[in-house]
Amino acid sequence: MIARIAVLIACIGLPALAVDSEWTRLSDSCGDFKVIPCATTLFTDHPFHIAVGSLAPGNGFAAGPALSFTHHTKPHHIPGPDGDTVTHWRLNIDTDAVLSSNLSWRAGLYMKARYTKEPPTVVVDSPPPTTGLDLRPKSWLFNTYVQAESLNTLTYYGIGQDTSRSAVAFYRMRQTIVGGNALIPLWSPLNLSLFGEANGRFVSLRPDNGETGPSIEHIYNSVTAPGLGDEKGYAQFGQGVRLAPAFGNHFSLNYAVTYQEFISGSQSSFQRLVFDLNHQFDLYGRAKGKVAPDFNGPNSCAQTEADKNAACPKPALSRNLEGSISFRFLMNQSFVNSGNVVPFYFQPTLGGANINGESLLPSYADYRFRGPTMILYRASFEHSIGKLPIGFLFMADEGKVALTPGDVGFNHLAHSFSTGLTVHAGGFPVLSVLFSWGGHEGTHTLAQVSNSLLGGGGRPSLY
Amino acid sequence: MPDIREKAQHIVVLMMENRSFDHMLGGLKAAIPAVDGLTGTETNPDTKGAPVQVTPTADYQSDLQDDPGHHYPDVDIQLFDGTPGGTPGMQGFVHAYFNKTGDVKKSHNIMKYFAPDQLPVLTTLAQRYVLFNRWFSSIPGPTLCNRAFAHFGTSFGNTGMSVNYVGRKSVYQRMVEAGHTSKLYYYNQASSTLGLTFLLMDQPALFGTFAQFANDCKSGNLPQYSFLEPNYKDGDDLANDQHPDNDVRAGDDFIGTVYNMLRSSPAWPNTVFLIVYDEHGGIYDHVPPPALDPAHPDGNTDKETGFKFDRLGVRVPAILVSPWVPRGTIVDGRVFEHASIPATVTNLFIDPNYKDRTAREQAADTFLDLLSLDTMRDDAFHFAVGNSASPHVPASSRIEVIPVPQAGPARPDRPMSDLLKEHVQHMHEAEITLPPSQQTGIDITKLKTVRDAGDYIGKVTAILHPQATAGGGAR
Repeated sequence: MIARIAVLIACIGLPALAVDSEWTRLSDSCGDFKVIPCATTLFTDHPFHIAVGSLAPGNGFAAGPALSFTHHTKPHHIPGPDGDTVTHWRLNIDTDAVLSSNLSWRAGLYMKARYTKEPPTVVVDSPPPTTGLDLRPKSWLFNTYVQAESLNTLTYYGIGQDTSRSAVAFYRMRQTIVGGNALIPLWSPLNLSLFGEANGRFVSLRPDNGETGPSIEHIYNSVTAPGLGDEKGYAQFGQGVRLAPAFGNHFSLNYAVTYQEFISGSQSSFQRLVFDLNHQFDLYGRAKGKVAPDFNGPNSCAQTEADKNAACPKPALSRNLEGSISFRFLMNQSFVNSGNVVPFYFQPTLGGANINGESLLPSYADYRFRGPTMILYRASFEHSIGKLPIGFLFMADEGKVALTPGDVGFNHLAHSFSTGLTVHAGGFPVLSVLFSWGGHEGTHTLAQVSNSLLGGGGRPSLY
Repeated sequence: MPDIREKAQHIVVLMMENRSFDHMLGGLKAAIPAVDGLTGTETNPDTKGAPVQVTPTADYQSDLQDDPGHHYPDVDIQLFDGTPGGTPGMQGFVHAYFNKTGDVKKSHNIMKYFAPDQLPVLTTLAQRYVLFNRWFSSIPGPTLCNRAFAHFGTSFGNTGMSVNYVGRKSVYQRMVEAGHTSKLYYYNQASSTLGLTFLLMDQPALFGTFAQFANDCKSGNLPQYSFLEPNYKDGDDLANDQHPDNDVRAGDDFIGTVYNMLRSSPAWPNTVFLIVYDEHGGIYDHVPPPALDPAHPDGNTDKETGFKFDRLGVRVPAILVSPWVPRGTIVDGRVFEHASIPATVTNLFIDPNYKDRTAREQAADTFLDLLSLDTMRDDAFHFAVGNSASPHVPASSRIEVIPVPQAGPARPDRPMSDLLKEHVQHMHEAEITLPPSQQTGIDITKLKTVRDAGDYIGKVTAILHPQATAGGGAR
């Protein structure tokens, strides 16, 4: 209750801190019933705006105040024989608190920090090497966050691919995550980086009070729902590599391989290996990135300093045709020592959208399949409709969950086909409506608003 | 002597962001008096009436975290300080920045400039190649309308951030239609291209990324005309466009990287490299932007501001790099603006009489006559990361005093080049549109030498741009 009150106070109180210039922009935009300019200012203006987005499936759309700003430190000059070596930080800070119609909420503070060390530049009186000498500095990126999220409607069908839809149970969860990660560039031509993370996770489960269906503890126990009734705090560490080269304007890769350790009590620790391999063919070439820059926080605009005065990106008529074909391979394997279990609330899910709002096997119900190991193959095609900021999407998924890494493969895959519309702003999909079919459990319609409406990223995964 | 078409087979333009001439290069005047930079005594009043003097204390980031205003109303304050009309007094920069920051102390930051040692690449290139004392942004306004002049020779009547570019062909389209090669290299997909995104899908062949530029330099297969865009945003790489408050040093290193790539390219002997900034970004400069002849521009009036396109924007840094320019050239007494870019490219590669362009572009000065050497320079240098073992010159001992800054061609009695003949013809076409009483009466068929051409062009320019030429001489 205290947390809810805090969120409500934040919802009401933070906008009162808005600076005069924002009030001026708001009054300019919202006077004379100008709907679109008014909405644009309300939802995208900086440093304050209203954050909107979907919480985890089943918990509705949420809205609340958001504050986003940057700070650049004064450079530190270190004298040397060839001139100063300069170091500096560039910080991007976001905070928001949102509340949905079923009183689920999320509040978080996110800070991204870019550290750069620049040695002096000198003049050499000889021809340069034939490759040309690249002087561009490289930066280390650090991401820290404190986030609490309370979700009032989550569903559970048991573990594995053979569970029954009728075995659904409901639970509530609150998770607080404190931690950070770092991205260290290694080699520019392939956009190769090292990734590391460390955080603390604190989960508490609560029964659903019969409002939506049977509560989880009435159907399942700690054997059929590992971790139920024994929620622990976890220290989580991760290491990985990221590879994201672009080959011309038509083909790009985005590979991430991460190894994670979840450390808790003696029977709850486990490890996880994640392969997320994305391949994208752009039909017409591409000018705008479809993935938010790493430095953008969840409420930061994906804009440039150069067009800062043009405010944040918004849906706009385009003279471009856009289209892409993508292939994704996602594998999530968990490993435990003998006698240990992976808590169900940290197991990946397939079906509808997962707890992070990512659509996986969308023809099935949300969270339909859950297991310590998961595999997904996806092919998708997206194309703009005319030159509007609206896109048509077709997507085919094949996937399964399994109890052990040895059980995944190409056999007995569940499949899902989806078609729908996406609305882009600033090059990023901000709204999607999908109709999905396939498999044996009917159809499913998903409507989602990106939880980083302005094209940024940086919220930690909830599993 | 090689023809200009041999010397300039490739033109590469790098347009940086939002820094004024004095802010970046004004400090060079202390060592090189011919540079129209800062004496160190220039001031602007702050909101309390105290004079704020220029100081060489600018830092690479954090001085200008509140983006200085550079839209038309902001620039109007900077130039006229609330008393419009006449020659701009350049006394409103601190006031305008106070309007952004609301902080008197912060508002003083707008008067800071860089000591030359802080920008080793830009100041070295300025001293060893050609520095323009009078290159102005095209409009007293923001980024996109100024960049539009570099692409189209017009901003289509806009003084803001509109991208309603309809009715004129870009210089890239002109080049391709004339059977030439041309490409706009944007940094990467995350940074994208400013203002021209709409052309990407319709004409993808006109575009490339910086990685492709690096490959084209390496192979020597540069297009005849290339326009290069820096990284506008912090992404995988640090933003290097130098827009406030992006890291200026990262931008200097980026310019050095581009220079290194070109200098090591097989195309170097025939490449002309122009570094120029799109606009001043609201930062102090002491030179009043010249007015244009009212009859000369394209008859545009911006609906929002009422601006009649009769005055240039604030002065910006511009440096021309080529092995065919005399070392340490300082161009004075001539006025350039961003329309000079499509004018030069079109005149050289397509046709100096190319008609389908604005009057503004047709009247813009061109710069290839500065490639005046008979033989190619054989001096070689490049930029490297310091503290290395290779022999090099630390930035702190690098400032060069150039004894005889040169303003214009080195041998005025030599015959006119083809390009200069075309320039004379071009000016003549502009002249004959004037009433007979205002024409010079000079028979251009009798002009033979570079001096003849210079005299004629100067006279016509004085008629077409009376205030520009009056304010454009050496101080």
